[in-house]
Amino acid sequence: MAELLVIAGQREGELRPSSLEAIAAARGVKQAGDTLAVVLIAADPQALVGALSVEGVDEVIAIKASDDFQPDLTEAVITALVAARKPALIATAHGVDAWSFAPAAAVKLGCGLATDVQALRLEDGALVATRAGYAEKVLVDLDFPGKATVLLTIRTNVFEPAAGSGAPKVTAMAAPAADIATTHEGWKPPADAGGIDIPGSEFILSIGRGVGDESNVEQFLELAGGMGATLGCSRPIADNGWLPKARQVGQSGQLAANCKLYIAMGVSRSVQHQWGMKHVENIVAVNTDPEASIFSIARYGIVGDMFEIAEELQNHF
Amino acid sequence: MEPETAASALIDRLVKAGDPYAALGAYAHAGAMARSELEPVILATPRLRLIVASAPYAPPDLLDRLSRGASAPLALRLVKNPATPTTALGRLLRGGPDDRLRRYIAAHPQADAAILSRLAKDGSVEVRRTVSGNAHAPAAVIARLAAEDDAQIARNAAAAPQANAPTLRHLWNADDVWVRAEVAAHPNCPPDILAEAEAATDPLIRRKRAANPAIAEAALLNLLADPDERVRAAAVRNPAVSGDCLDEAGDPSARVRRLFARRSRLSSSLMERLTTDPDVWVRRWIARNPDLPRALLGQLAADPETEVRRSVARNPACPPDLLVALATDPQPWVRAGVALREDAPDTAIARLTGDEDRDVLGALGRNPRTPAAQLDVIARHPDKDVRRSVAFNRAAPPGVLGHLAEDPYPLNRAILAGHRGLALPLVERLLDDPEPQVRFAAATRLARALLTHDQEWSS
Ligand SMILES: Cc1cc2nc3c(=O)[nH]c(=O)nc-3n(C[C@H](O)[C@H](O)[C@H](O)COP(=O)(O)OP(=O)(O)OC[C@H]3O[C@@H](n4cnc5c(N)ncnc54)[C@H](O)[C@@H]3O)c2cc1C
Repeated sequence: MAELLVIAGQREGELRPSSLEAIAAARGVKQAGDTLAVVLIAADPQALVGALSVEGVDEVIAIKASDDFQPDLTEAVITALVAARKPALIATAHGVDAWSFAPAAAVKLGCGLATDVQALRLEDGALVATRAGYAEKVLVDLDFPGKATVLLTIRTNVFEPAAGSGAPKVTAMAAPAADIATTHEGWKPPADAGGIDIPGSEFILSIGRGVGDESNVEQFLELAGGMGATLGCSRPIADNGWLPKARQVGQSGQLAANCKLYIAMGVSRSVQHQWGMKHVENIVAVNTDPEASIFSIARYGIVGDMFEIAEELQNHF
Repeated sequence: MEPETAASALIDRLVKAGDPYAALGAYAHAGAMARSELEPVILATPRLRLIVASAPYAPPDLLDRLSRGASAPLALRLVKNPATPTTALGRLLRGGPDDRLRRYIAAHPQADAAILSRLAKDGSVEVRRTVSGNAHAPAAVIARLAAEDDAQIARNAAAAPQANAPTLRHLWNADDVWVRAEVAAHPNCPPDILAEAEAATDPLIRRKRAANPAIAEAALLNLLADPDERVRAAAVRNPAVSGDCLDEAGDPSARVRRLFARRSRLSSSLMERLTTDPDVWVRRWIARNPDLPRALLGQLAADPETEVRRSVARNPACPPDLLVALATDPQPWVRAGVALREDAPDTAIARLTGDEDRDVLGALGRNPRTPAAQLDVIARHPDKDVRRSVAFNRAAPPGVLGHLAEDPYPLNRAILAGHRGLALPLVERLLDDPEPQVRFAAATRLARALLTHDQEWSS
């Protein structure tokens, strides 16, 4: 019988969707007899209990405090809960919030730690977390011998958000005393992407260096528009100023988080580009080089000239 | 230091460091002696040999050397590598490779006529099919293969650049609609078949006929009036078409008008009509047309659609006063289009100074006209992608580049290492960078300067 904890996140009183992904990750290793509790710090935690009442959640631990995220308070909450409940696992979404409390809490409490975890499993009852290493070039399995508690930050957009209805009990917990060292200055909205939404798009047509020249880019914007796709691109295209940086897919660009169909034309598939799109279920690659490594992750491959294929596609839209 | 001494010091240093990435960077510019010193470092282990054999950036001479006595895994990587030279492919072929390897050789962009002629007689149909799809296959090889009764070879042969008229006639007579369509598009297609294709009932064949660059004016006019918009679109797209063949009244299909807008030598009344077209894509395309007169460009510069104004900003014929006006456009993507222009007047660049948008800053960072003070600000920007733009700027002063050499983002240092303006002592420092990509680029740059004595690179 183990206790699993998930630290949920909220922004201005709205539940962060990644919290449901962290719940899904923890739920995946929940065994019969285990309990899964979700910790929520908010000005009005009760308002978010409904959103957290998903299948597999047994308890919501509600802590009333400011909606402004406080790493020191979160760390104090974790410290108190580890002392009181000795959880086997603490999971939270990987992101700026987690960076500011998870490593510090893990060191302080002597927990096992893995960040940016992409997969989680039990092997002979012990947790094994998978994360990428060497700039995403390899996948690494980590185990945590001798650690009573393991703290994991879960990569977003990998786990299907937890769904299904549940009826967790709600436990109110008083905010523990914390030595608050940071102040919240206010919210700055993300840079305006001019209406370009790579993370939100279900259908992306991406172009790479195979496009050759700026004067050729327009026809792919037209094709994408006609097909109802968002045009994405590889890094060199954005670096050249041929398309806005908001269209760049990859490690230093955007994650095609909701994409269901990704057509890559004239893209070679560097590990960095792949970072933003390899999870997409339907990848179609068009490349003149039959050896282009993009074909190894594509469901459908066309060895051919992207301009000819684009022209053929234009005839259908 | 004397150039010779500096060059041999570089080779000594690379050999001593035993760093295969840096050694590989220098190899392409090294002479025979230096190469023999570098090779043991680059090819020190079987694993390194496999890495080099599949690297498209590996120098062809090194790949050639690897092909001598190559093991099966090494040979497979070599035949898959587009940089492997013809000599190496020939050597591997003489070694009696298996079906798979022969197929890769048959598809290889460096396979020459001799290799392809030999493989055209191969016992495996897969290998022969691959030969028929290789753009370098000579006419005689294509003719021989086209005589086979194989649908895939027929399609490949009909699209083969070297297919000659008799081969194309043979293929046309086979009566497969896809093969016929390729024949109709082929520049070597005989005139009687072209005439037949023009009157074909299947629009696919007429469309391919309309795309044939060897098109006579009468045929073109016919196809430009085709009832099928896809056929008309293919005709307008045909590089042999000039704008003065196009109907002044435009075309009922927006798709066809979009293609009109891309053509040169349009009549002035047609240009005027396209400038006010209700279809935004027509306006986007015409706004990029370098033949557009000043007055129409001015009209499009006030278009409510951002992308139309961006197109004006990217039009090479856009006059300086319009660029100055567009430099204060409310949409950053339009301003970024101005910031990217190397011919933008100083007033336009000055108006962009202080802009905070990352696309505008990235474009200014690349622009050789951007003043040094502004480049310095961009090179220190918190956004790594914005900072990187300066590494692409051929006119960036050494001081600004020196600052970028300290950039915490490896990609920025890797790109910077190849910059001609980066002082050699700083490039040398990058030889010790933790990132292999940076060391490779730094060694390439140094070797170019010190081993080839190329003045442009030895600043
Ligand atoms: C730290 C770091 C971060 C990075 N972040 C990113 C990132 O976020 N996103 C990103 O994309 N890259 C990123 N990169 C860059 C990445 O390593 C590659 O350089 C880049 O992705 C290559 O872009 P590409 O595939 O368009 O070009 P290339 O690798 O040059 O590939 C072009 C492809 O087009 C094919 N081709 C050419 N002509 C045609 C044609 N007519 N029809 C069809 N195919 C054709 C070629 O066969 C080739 O496969 C990063 C690099 C580093 C070091």
